[in-house]
Amino acid sequence: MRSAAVIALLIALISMGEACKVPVFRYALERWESDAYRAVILYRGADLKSSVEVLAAPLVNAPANLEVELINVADLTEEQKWQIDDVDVVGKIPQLRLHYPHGSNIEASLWEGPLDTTSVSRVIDSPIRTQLVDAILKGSSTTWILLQCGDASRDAAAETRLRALLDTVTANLTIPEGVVRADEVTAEGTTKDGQPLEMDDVLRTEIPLKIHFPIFTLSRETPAESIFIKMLEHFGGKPDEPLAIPVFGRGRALEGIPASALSKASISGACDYLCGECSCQVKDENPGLDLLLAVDWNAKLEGTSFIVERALPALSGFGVAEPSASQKASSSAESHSPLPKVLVLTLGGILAVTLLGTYLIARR
Amino acid sequence: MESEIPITMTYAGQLAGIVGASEETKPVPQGTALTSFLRDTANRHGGRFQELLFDENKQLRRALVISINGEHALDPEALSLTRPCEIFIMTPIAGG
Repeated sequence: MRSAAVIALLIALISMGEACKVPVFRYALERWESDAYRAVILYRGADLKSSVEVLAAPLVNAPANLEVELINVADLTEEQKWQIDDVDVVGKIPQLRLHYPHGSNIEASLWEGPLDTTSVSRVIDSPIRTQLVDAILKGSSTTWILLQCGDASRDAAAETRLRALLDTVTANLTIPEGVVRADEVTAEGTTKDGQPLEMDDVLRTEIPLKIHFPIFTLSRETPAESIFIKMLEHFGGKPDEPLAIPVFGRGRALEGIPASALSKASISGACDYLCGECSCQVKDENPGLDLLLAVDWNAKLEGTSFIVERALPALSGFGVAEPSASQKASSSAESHSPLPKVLVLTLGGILAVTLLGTYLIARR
Repeated sequence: MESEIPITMTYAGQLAGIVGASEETKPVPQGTALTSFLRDTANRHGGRFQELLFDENKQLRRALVISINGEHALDPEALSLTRPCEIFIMTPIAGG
């Protein structure tokens, strides 16, 4: 009896740590919300307020992972001024200061400059970002930015090497077994032949699931990309060496791999992680930093979303808040697993505690 | 006497910057635990390198990508180094 209780307890605990079959790159696209960058706009004088608001409107209205704050420094108390770097340099020309998301722990501002139409447009969008998003929404597993160093021969060599390595990886990698398309799920949340399944293994969109790694080269001298290139500075590397940066999900980027480290081990290692089972569904426990992109991901994905309803047994004594259909389709952030998994974990936890208590009492 | 095997470390962004190279090779006794090897490597490079690999409780950070010969190591703490291999590590961006 005791050993049976202990075995049951172990099974319950082990089942909680199971990986889901959806590859990391796809899990991130369908389930991880992007972290918000912060744009702080500083101006001096109430007479500038309306013109600043007009200039800042594209930032405020963009469907981007960006929070915008307008501050009239003339209204600040001395104590508040101490909290803003170089506040006294703000004159009649409004200043735009862009910061990485809070969770990045990067304190220094990403970019600072005058607030004007050019800076505003370069903050929220740029040609290469549009290309990245298009590729991801067409099913690319991961897009690779090759940030060039400016030496044509080294840049060309790095691109050739990266392409060859990615081709090799593509030929050898496979999608994990057990991924379930939503049209393979019944209204009862089982497979067509009645087998139970784990909803974390079910894809939420119709976007093709494939192993595909396009490369986008980026010159450091491209004016339209100047702020985006600054954004990439924290991804490692040196200006005199090409840097390959993998971007997946909703624009989440991993550390860059310098040209000197482009090898079968490094590229296969990165791709194997990105295309492998999502062993940890908690976004913050995975590496990477979200890029600033002007994309309403939920809207883009909604058109291709499957909504899988699962009939739940009635629960007495529990208040169950049923999410709306739009909430289900919008794949809200982090480790928000579908309700059945939450239910399983909750019941598993209760079972584990009960069995542990039974075991301890029986030992007396 | 234990035989030694060469282990090559390949570094991405931040670690490459700290080490000043994208690759280094070191011999270790066959059978060394991967975590133990990484701890020794981190001790050798010190400070920021250690912070990127280990948390304040001296545990290997979860948000690392560690691969051995191109295969992602899902459970690095369970692995030992029994043959010459190439280890590749990607760390969280700026510790975030």
